[in-house]
Amino acid sequence: MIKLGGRVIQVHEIGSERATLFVMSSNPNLPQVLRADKAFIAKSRAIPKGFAHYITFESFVDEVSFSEGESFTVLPDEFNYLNDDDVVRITPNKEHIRVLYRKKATNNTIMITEQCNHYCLMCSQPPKNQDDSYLLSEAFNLIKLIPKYTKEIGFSGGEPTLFGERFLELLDFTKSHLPQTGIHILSNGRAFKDVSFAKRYANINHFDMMVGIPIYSSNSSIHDYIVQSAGALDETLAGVLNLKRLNQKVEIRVVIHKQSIEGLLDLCEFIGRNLLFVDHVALMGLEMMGFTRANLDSLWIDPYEYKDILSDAVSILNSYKLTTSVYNHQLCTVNKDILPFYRKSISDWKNEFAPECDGCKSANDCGGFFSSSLQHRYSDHIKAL
Amino acid sequence: MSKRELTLKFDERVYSVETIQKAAYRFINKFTADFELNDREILCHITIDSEHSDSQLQKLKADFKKEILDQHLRQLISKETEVVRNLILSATFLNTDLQEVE
Amino acid sequence: MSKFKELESYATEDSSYELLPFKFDRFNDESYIITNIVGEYLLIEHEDLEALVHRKLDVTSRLYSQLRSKHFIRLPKEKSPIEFLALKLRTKLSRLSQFTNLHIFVVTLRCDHSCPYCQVSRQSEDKSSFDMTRDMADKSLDFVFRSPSPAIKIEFQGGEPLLNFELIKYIVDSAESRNRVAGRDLAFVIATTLSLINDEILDFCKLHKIQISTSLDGPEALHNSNRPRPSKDSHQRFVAGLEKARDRLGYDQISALMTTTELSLDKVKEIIDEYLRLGFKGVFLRPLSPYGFAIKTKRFMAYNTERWLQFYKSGLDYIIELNRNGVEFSEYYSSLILKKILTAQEPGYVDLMSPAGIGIAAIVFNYDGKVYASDESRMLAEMGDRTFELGNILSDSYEDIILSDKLLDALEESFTLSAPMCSECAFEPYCGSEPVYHHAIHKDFLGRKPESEFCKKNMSIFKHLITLMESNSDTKKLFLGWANR
Repeated sequence: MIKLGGRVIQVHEIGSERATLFVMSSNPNLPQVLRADKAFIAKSRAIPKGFAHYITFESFVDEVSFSEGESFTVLPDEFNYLNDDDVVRITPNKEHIRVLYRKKATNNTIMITEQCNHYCLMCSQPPKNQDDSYLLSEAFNLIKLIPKYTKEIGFSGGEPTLFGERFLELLDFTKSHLPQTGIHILSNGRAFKDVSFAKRYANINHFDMMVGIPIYSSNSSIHDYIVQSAGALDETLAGVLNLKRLNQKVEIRVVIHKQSIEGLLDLCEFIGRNLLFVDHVALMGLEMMGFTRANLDSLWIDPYEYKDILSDAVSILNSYKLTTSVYNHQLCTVNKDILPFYRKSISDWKNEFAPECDGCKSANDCGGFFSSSLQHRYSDHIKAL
Repeated sequence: MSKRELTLKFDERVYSVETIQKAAYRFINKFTADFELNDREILCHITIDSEHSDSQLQKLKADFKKEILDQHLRQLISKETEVVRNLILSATFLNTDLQEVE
Repeated sequence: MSKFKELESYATEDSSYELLPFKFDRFNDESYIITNIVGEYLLIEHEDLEALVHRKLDVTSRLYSQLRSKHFIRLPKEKSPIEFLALKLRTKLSRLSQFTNLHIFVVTLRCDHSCPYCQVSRQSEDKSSFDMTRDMADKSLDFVFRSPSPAIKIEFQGGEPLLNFELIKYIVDSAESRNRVAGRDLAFVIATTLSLINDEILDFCKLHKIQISTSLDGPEALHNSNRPRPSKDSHQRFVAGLEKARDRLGYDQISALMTTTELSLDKVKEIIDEYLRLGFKGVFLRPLSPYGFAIKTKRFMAYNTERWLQFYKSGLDYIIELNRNGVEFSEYYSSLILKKILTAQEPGYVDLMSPAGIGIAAIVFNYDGKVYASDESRMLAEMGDRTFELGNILSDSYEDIILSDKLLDALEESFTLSAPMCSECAFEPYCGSEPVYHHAIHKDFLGRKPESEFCKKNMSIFKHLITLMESNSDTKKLFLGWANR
């Protein structure tokens, strides 16, 4: 697992003590005019002058020395992966670093709030009800620093649409500064039940923008229970309908666990009969982060136990010609018939393998595990293929 | 071919003539029905024009009564859903897709 | 965690739900079937039906959950059920606004076969007064391009249309030329036995991407009895023609239809095997139409609904078994019906449409200039009943024909949603109007459905398909695949 945030070992900042974003560079020959907002990754004695900040790592501390007037941060060796064009936030008065964008990441998602109007039983990013509008402001700055060649970035939360107009402005801003970058938004979709909001969203007229919307059951009592909000499903569906009427791309995401497995086939039929126009359906395995651990008794079911239901679910969706993907499962816990839909997807900063995987010939094709799963709970049926 | 005739009586307060007629229509290939109203009763004179054993006759009568109950239920459902049916139809034929459905 | 509320907090109160429009009928001795306004169904017991209507349903039951997600009931505040039903209904009806798609050109009545069930006359090859003229073809094409449909299919029939191949070439060239302006999705089909296929014809078909719809009634003996030729070699010529056509045009450009006769009825397995043997991916188990020579020669008398249903059900059983054993093979008639049961799409099969498909989905231009509302309408006219003869292409305008009282009356009077019994029938979303059949047999557009063999047959098929799906999940999977093709 790649560490994305944590305490620094030492930070010496001449300027502001507050959070600042830096783009990384390891190029000692970078033109002077381009050094003013960047942080140089120092791993040897030669320190080029003129950078706004310098980064080095614990194991280089003996070799590297900085002059008077140079701001620097010493990071634990775990951050040694940092490279050109990566973007970090360093908060000197908290002695904290957070990596916000990585060029080599399989996907980059910007969390713009931790506030949410849902309280999902399995939320991997538990909501915090405090003013975190600084995250949204920071996002604007971050967008300006992200390389223009980036293929796709994501926005998530909490619930990103809680910011209303400001969120739409952020999307428009992203379109301006990253005109060739696709956008993937994670949202419960309820805000789009308001036709005028949906229209303003559509008017951004982005060339490649998709909303990923979770639906956990076609039975609103169950769905509302899972997200802990009465009336959620009806509003989410109203949002989906509006988005589709405006020709916007929509993906339906279903997390499979003990509460959603019973109604999974009914849900797939429901999607086939009513949501045939969605662009993608994602069936996802459970992540052991956040609230999941607190609710494990209600949520845990061994994926091996439901593999036949998963096969049937994919079969139904595929019959209706819906583009379907299965994420976050290990190859030894699924039936062969879903292989065409299996995605080796877990974001690279989260995945690893278990001891039972030793010698597995399919490891390269397998998504592996969430690190959180290895720590807390994973299938009892893992075996090397 | 012997004709069998029988008369069924229905309380007008419970069933409408229309309900019984609709039920009778479904048996049009099995018997003909004449209707008569008196006081508060609907009389349904049935003429069955082919050979039937007694048990077959009983079954026919039972089926007819069940169908009447079904028709009654259909009327109930139809009345109850008339408003929402019109709502759905008007939403179906709306020109622009973005009107709010009340 | 105490911050999380229990499932019960999100469940609904007993009597607060509202009914959405639905119809019901007795399905079998145990259960009823309910269907919503777009044909989604549930099998339900009578006591549950009563409970549903009288608000005594157990709201924690799976049935309750299914009733909500299949849009039979909703909570008063919910808007999405209305929107979804409207959307699905609009999808089902969208074909109506596209109007006539299939245009059949009967380019000649001449035929080299003399099939006993055939509605066309047994004219020998040298009587050219039974060919369509260029003038008729031109006027027919005027008509074709008046249709607003974005997709136009022109199908050549006969007799044996290849006997007037010159006119086919003329029509294809002329249609393509007009289409350069009209810009439709234009497709051509020739319905032929393949007995007269040759290289020149195949070259032309290849060049213009013309598909072939051919006939295969079964193994050689059966096929030849159904389709007599003077040299008694219909099947042989068919197989040879099939191979040539596949070589030249491509495997997927040739499809086959069967005609069911009394001789077919106890040979369904053999017929299917013949289709398998010749490499077809499916079969269309067709009912025998009660028209043309069939009635004249009283063969229709020998045919009855029960026997055909037996034929159909055995055939379907065999096909399901084939699929279970890894052989991919479809039954196309069932697939059409399953599309109506399991999806919001309308397959556009003329016999199963309401309003009826006559005129508004398909139309026929006959070799003598007459215009008919459908293939069956033409067959009926050959028997002397010209109720569905809409006009003459040489003298009548598009409006005369398409807005004629003959057509509009038939459409209106046969409309199932205003018909006795049909209007309340749970199977109505899967069924069709069929005014031509009812007029032929019962002398009016509607018929009395309790007496109608069409009704009896259809209900039996619907119940059979649903029973098969409900009793076996593998069959349901198979059918779901067929429905979505």
